[in-house]
Amino acid sequence: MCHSLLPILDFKRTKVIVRAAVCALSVTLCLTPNTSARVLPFNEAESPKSVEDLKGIQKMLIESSDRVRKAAVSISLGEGFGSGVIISEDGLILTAAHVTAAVDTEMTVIMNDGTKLKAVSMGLNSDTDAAMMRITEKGKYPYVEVNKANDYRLGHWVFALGHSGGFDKLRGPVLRLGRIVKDSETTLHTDCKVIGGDSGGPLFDMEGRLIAIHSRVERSMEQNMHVPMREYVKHWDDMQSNKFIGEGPFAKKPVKGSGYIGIATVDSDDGVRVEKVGKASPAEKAEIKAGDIIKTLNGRQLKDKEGFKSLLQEMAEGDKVELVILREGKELTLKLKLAKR
Amino acid sequence: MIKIYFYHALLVAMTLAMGSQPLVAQNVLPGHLRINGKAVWEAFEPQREVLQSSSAVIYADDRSRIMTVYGTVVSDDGYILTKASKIEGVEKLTMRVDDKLYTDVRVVSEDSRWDVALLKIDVEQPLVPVVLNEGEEVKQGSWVISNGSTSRSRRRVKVGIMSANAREISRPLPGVMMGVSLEEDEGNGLKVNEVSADSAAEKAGVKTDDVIKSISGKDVSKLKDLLELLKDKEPKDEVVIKILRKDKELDFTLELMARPKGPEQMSRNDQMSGGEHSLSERRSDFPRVLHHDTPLIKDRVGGPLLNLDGVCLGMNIARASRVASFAVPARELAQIFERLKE
Repeated sequence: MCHSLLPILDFKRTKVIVRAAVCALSVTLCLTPNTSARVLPFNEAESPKSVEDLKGIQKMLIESSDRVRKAAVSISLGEGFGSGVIISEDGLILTAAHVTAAVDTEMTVIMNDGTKLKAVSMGLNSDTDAAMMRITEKGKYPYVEVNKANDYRLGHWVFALGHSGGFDKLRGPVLRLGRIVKDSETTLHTDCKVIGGDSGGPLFDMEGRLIAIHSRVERSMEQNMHVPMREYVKHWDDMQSNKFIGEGPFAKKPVKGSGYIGIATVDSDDGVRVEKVGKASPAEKAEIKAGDIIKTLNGRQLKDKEGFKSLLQEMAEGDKVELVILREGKELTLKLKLAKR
Repeated sequence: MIKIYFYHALLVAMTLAMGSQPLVAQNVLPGHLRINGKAVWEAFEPQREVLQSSSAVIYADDRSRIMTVYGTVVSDDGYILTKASKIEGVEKLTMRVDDKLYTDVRVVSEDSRWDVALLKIDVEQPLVPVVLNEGEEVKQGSWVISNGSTSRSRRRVKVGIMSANAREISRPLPGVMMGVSLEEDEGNGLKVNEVSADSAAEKAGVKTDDVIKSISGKDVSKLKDLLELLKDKEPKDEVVIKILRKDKELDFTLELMARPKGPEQMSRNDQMSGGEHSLSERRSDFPRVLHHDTPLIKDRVGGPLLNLDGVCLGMNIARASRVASFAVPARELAQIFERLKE
């Protein structure tokens, strides 16, 4: 337990450190604390005893929540909403695996002012409910510092932000205060009440550093569960390289051979020839036509129908496919995404 | 030098103290230390004293034993505000303020828009009214204190923080939709910003930048008008919409479609909130509310919402979800009181 009584860093300096920290994180799984936690009197006391103690909590909560609010975003899932939090200036986001549900999928991020931004899901851990995504539009986004030091304990005061029940511009993200009530291996429990729509939203220590991501609740108001940052740090590289980790239950692993492209092929002298294109199939949407000769699939040369089939067998629903096609003597590159068989 | 030494001593003392505290050794934070645990409530004694003198416990049974709702004392001569829908249809009300029981409670009048009722009791000794906040509204993250449970003689607190922007809470969306995103076009109608693919509107031929003038013969200039018109409609009902497109007025017949329920649909969130029975029956359609995270029990609204200085920020009006309670802001509450008194 090492505490040093450092003054809180000013914003400019924090920014630099975070940027450095994010870089460091992506290269090595470095667990050295980037900034040491301040000793906060209200976290050292068993419970507040006076109005002065309460004002201490209030002052810090107002300051810290004001600073991080803009980075707490809503994630539109078409049907329903989740939340997320931006952790780098260029738009890296942490959220929950049951929000993104799959790797490398396009999603929409909604900033607090209603701006909609294109984003794509990255890797996820389906065992613990951790996931990463990133905004694909270039820009400088508001972001928060990740607390990699794990320097919180049972009873520490924490606050939650999230777009409870979905995005609501007039309301804004919803702030809640509570304490850490349990810290188990892959789950942090608090009495900050969270609800549907908050999933993937941030839990902060009182200095406004990200310590966990909202995951789930029990019926009891006291049981609100969050995925701690150490679970993200552990799989940081894998999540950055779009890996699907684990066997569930928070996301369903794509099954090999479950993908559907929607073409019938025959072997021909030139290669694999498209004979028929299924109605409303991914192939039709990508404008593949009967008579096209398929030369390559994701860069792999195709010799015959069987080779094409066995390559597809290795793929799953939602996987991206890039085909190089020969049509009337011209080579075309067509992209599509496999549907569910 | 001495200062530095003291600093270190303090640090060592604190570290040791932490080590010897059961807090660290235990796996789970005991209930009394949680945000709404007894130990935390003890720090709110000054605010509890305000609730003791300036909140009312209202009973609907003739023996004054089962609390129906709380009230907020707003004048020393016996005026009390409460949530109107909680006392609707009750023949005889009684009330306790501090430890004194009042058996003659009159309903003066009601404001159904705000769901607020004004009650009057005759007092021998002047009551202690709340001090309504006249300054700026408090920031998100500020502590707020409400009535928790109560015994005959003693009010208790329940605490939370201001959680989100104060705002209007509209009526729930109708069960049907046209499949357009609209914007109010001042004095003109409702401008179509977007037409969803495969929607009722697209099938009927509605296009982006069309301006909807009327629906089924009724003019629509505000989004509210539209919601009001669609409120009682069923999926597959037909409506005729009049549209202005480049100076031409066109009529379209449109078959309304059901509003899809996403994975975060209300019923699931209501379930997480303990089910319908733990939420206020009337929890929407308020002109403006303060939004806080105090886990109120639905019958324990009607009392004052205080800040740490004991100033009344508003009156609790609804338990809205697992994460939200609403209060009528002090500014509006003062106006409602003046109106109802006349």
